[in-house]
This record gives sequence, structure tokens and C-alpha cells, in this order.
Amino acid sequence: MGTSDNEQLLERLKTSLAEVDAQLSITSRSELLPHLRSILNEWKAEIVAVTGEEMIEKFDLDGQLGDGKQRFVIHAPKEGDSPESLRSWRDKVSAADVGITSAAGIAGETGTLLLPPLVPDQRAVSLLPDKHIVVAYIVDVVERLDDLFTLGVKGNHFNGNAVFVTGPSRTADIEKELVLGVHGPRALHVVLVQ
Amino acid sequence: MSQRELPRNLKRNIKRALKNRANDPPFKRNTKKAVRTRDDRFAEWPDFPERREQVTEHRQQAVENLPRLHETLRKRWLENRVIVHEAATAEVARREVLAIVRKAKARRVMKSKSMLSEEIEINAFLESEGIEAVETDLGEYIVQLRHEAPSHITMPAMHLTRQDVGRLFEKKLGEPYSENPPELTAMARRALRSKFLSTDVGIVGVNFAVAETGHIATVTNEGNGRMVTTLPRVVIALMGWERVTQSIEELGRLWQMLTRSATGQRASVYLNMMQKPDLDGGGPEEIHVIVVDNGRKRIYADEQFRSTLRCIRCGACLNVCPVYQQVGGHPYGGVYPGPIGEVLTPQLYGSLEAPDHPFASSLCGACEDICPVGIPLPQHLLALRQRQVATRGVFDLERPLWKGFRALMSSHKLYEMGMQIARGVQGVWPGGAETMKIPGWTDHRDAPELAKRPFREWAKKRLGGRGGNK
Repeated sequence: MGTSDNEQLLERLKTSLAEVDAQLSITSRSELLPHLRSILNEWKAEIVAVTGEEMIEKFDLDGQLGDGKQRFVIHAPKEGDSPESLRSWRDKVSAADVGITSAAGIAGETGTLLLPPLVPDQRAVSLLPDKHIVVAYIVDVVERLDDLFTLGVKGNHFNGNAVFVTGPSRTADIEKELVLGVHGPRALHVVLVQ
Repeated sequence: MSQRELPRNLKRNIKRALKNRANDPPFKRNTKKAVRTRDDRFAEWPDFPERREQVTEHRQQAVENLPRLHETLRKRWLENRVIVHEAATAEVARREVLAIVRKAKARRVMKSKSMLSEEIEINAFLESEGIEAVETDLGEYIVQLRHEAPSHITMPAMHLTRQDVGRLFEKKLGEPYSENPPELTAMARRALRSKFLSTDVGIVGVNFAVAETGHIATVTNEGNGRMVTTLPRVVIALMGWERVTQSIEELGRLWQMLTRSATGQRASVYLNMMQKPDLDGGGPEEIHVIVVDNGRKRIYADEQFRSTLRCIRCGACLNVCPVYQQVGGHPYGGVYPGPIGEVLTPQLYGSLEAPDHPFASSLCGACEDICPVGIPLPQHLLALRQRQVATRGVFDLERPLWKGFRALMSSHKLYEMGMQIARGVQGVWPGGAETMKIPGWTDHRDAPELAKRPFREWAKKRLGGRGGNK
């Protein structure tokens, strides 16, 4: 795919995400940490939940998003942690302002993200906090939603409990007025890494 | 869940609904809007006709092969340590749910929206056994707090104002009064969140199960489906026997067709794909699936009606049905309204329980046109009518009337003679055609005004010896 195709695809993704009330920004690997910090500052986030090994391995984040004074980072449990510590972790995640996870792929057509299964299960990070940041590689942006399913199958991302996410949680059950953030996060920011 | 109408009262319910409706009923407005949105979304797909054919083919093949697909599915579930329960009837399903809840020593279950759960009437049953069943879909939660029935499938609290909800939350949740929907939603989020975190059992519906992998897929916008399948220790998935699809790719295509057809969304906010319990404790430790028959296998066995099982529950047929647009969902009773309901309800509950459902239609065919999986609904309605008549019999006059009509229409001489007589009668009838009364027929229409001189006579004279009939 040529550069202009890429640009078109990214433009399309930006539009699709805006239409489901989600935001998009693009950064480089070296700038990822300060970029995330600026989003957390904008959101005035004090408690941040991060998924475990998966994020660290993929993006070299070494957890330096917190400063131990104004902002605390809750790290996800490791494989082998006791069920009790897992449950108490979940209660803490529920009180978090922001959850940060990665995505295996994104569809430009709809703005849909594929969140693959993690071990141990850390789906609470993309579900319970007030807001959600998703980090993904630009190369994992595909055109159609069909392509995202193909990406998922080829990349073996369905071995476990997966979820497709398209924007923040929403409802129009009260007088048909759109409200974001019913049970899931009320804001979603996608950060693409070159 | 409170009082649902009985399907057998359809006629009475429709009459009542027509009498009581407002001048501009919300059903008409909202259904038209839903169809417009759907059309706009499908217009985005240049390959919509092909995709629709493909999805129809998927569902047709899946339904044809349900027994084989179930074999594959059960193997996957066994490998994935998903616990399977068979429920031939609604009663068995209820008892299976109760057994799981009791074993988990739970006093409360969190429920994500599921039409099947309404079909088996699980809420009332659990309440009678001292178990609180909390609806977590915002609209359902609101009407549950008010001890009311939902007034619409996709918008349960459609009949309430923001003031109603404000007062309700003030009274039931102890929150300060507000009329602001975001604030009200935040109140519900808080109240339900604490329940979610302290409840051991969740009940979720199943949009589709994937045979190849054993995934249980659930579609939601609010996130309550995710909460129910992520937080509790024990998850119970209620699945209709026909809800199986072959592969994940097929699921992807079905999902897209479903969301665009139902609400005009390109994608629902969440497509949750649950596959395995998390025996280390990060997610649910036990996943149960209750596969519910409740009449579906009987429909499968009846080749003529087998295609009914293709239904993906998008609700598009409701939105275009002129009957539904006038009276809304309540009169149909049972759980499924609109055209699909008219075909399903008699088959699930028995035609004695829903004798009038197949007849509440003008057979306009709008439902078949819009159905994304090509269910021949008008054909089914006709077939159901035929069966009704064959088993129930007809009222005394109907047989000789039809015999007479057939004789009349089969013979030129009889037809022309009959029309001559009718013309004569109409000619001397005081007030003409407008005042003629044919029982039933003229309740909603005028009797046809017959021409003084039939066209065929005029044509014979005008065209000379050509044409005309002998």
C-alpha cells in the first residue's frame, strides 16, 4: 500500500472514530511515553490502570506513567497471582480514572478495535475505568471490518475471551438523548504508534 | 418482568390499541426513522446485495446443518471447559438456571438483556424462589424499578420522561433530584456498578455461538453484556438452539448485517466473544451454557417452516410492518412482535394459543423485502393460515361461499350473468354503491361501484369482431 493509500485510510479511521465519539492521535515509539502523559494530564487522571506484560513487551512502557504523588499506576496481575489478589485488583481498577490497553488491530471502515485475550484475564482494564486509552501500531490498521476478523484469525487472537470495541459505551434510553459511558468507559482515545 | 399480554388476545389487543392511540403514535415516527437510518447505512456498502446474499446463504446453510454444527460445538465446549445444559422446555431451562444459582449460593443475579430469558420467564421464577434478578440494560433497569413492563423492544423506557426518571431515582436510589440524562445515567452506573462487583452470578443472552471455536458472542452498546461476562464468578449463557454459526469470519459478517439492519450502526459498541472460563480467577471461573429448545426443534423438523430459524432478531420487519406501525409491540403478546412474531409465536406456543397471529397481516410483503436473511414471511403466514383452517375448520357459510365464488369465476356465462344481476341490484339500490353493506367487507371500505355497461361490451362494439371473448 502506497503512502497516499495509508493517508486515506488514516483519514477514514479518524472520521469513523469521530462518528462514534472516539478520538485519534498519532505518535512515534520514542514519543509514546510523553504523549500518553499529555493525554493523562488533559484528563486530569490520578489513578491509571495498565495491562501487564503484554503492554510492556509490545511498547516498551516501563510503567513510568505515574509519579507516586499525583498519579498512581495500577499494574495488572501476573500469571500465577492468587485469585484473591486478582479480585482486589479488580476493585481497584473499578476506581481508576483511565485504563490503558493495546489493540491487535483497528478497522478504518468503522473505527472498531480488536482487544485480544490476555493471560491472566485483564478485560477489566478496558471496561471498568472512567476512560480508556488504546495503543496500537499503525501497521495494524486495516480497511474493512471483515479484514479485522481475518487479522484476528490469522494472528490467533481468538484463543480466549476477546472483544471488539467501537467507541465509548452509549445509550439513548432516556428520552432518546445520547449519553456516553453507561457501564463501560465514557471516553475512548486511540493512540497509533508509527 | 410484569404483565405481558397473552398471544391469544391479539384481536382484542389490536382493537384496544387502535382505540387508545394518540394522534401521532411514537411507533410510526420511530419505526420510519429506524428504516431511514438502516437504508443510509446499507447505502454505504456498494456490495450490499452480494453481502446480503452471502449472509442469507450462511444462515440457510447453518440452519440446514444445525445438528452437525451442534456436534462440533459441543466438542469445542467440552475442550474449553464450558458446562453445557440441555433444556427441552422453558420449565427445564428455569430449573437449570435455579440449580446453578443455588449451587453458587447466590441471592442475586445480574442480567444482560436477552429475549430468550423473557421467553422462559426467568425473572418472575427467580423472584418466586427468593432470588433477586437485576436488569442491567439502562431502560430495563428503569422499568424494573417502576415494576412496569418495557414498552418497546429496543427502547424499554420509551414511555417515560426525564422527570419521571429523576423522581424515580430520587425515591429508589436516594439520589438528589435531576432531570439531566447524563447525570441520571451516572446515578444508574454507580448503583449498578456496586451490584456488579458484589454479585457472583450473571445471566447473558447469546446472539451466536461459533461452532468451530466454541465462542459465545454477545452484542451490546452499553457494556452491561461485558460486565456480566467479565465480573461474576459464574456466568450463565442462555442460548436458543438455532443460534449457531460455522466460523468466526461468518460471525463477523452476521454481526455487521445485524447492527446495520437493527439500528443503522456500522458496529455495535461491543461484540463480546467469550470462550473459556479463567480458572486462575481473573475472569469468570464457571461458564454455563443452557441450550434452549422450547419448540425450535419442532420448527426445524418442519421443512416448510425451517427458514424461520434463520432469524437474527434485527427487528427490521417490525419497522416496516404497517400493522406494527399502527399498534406497536404490546398487542402481539408473548415475546416476539411484528411479522416474525406472527410466524414464531404460533409455532412456539402452539396455534391454539395464537390463533389470530397469521391473519393480522395484509401480506404486503414489506417484511420479506427488508429481511436480511430472506425469510419468506408472507409465504409462512399463508401456510399457517391454511393449517389453521384445515385444523380449526371454517365458519358455516364460508365453504359454500367459496364454492360459489369459484363457480362464478370459472365460467364466462355464470360470471357475466352474475355481474348483470349485481349491476341491476346496484342500479336500484337507494344511495348507490356507497350505501351497500357487505358484512365484514364494508367495515373499512366501500362496495365497488360497478360500471353501467361492462367494458367488454364497449370493446366488442368499438373493436368490431376483433378481441372480445366468446
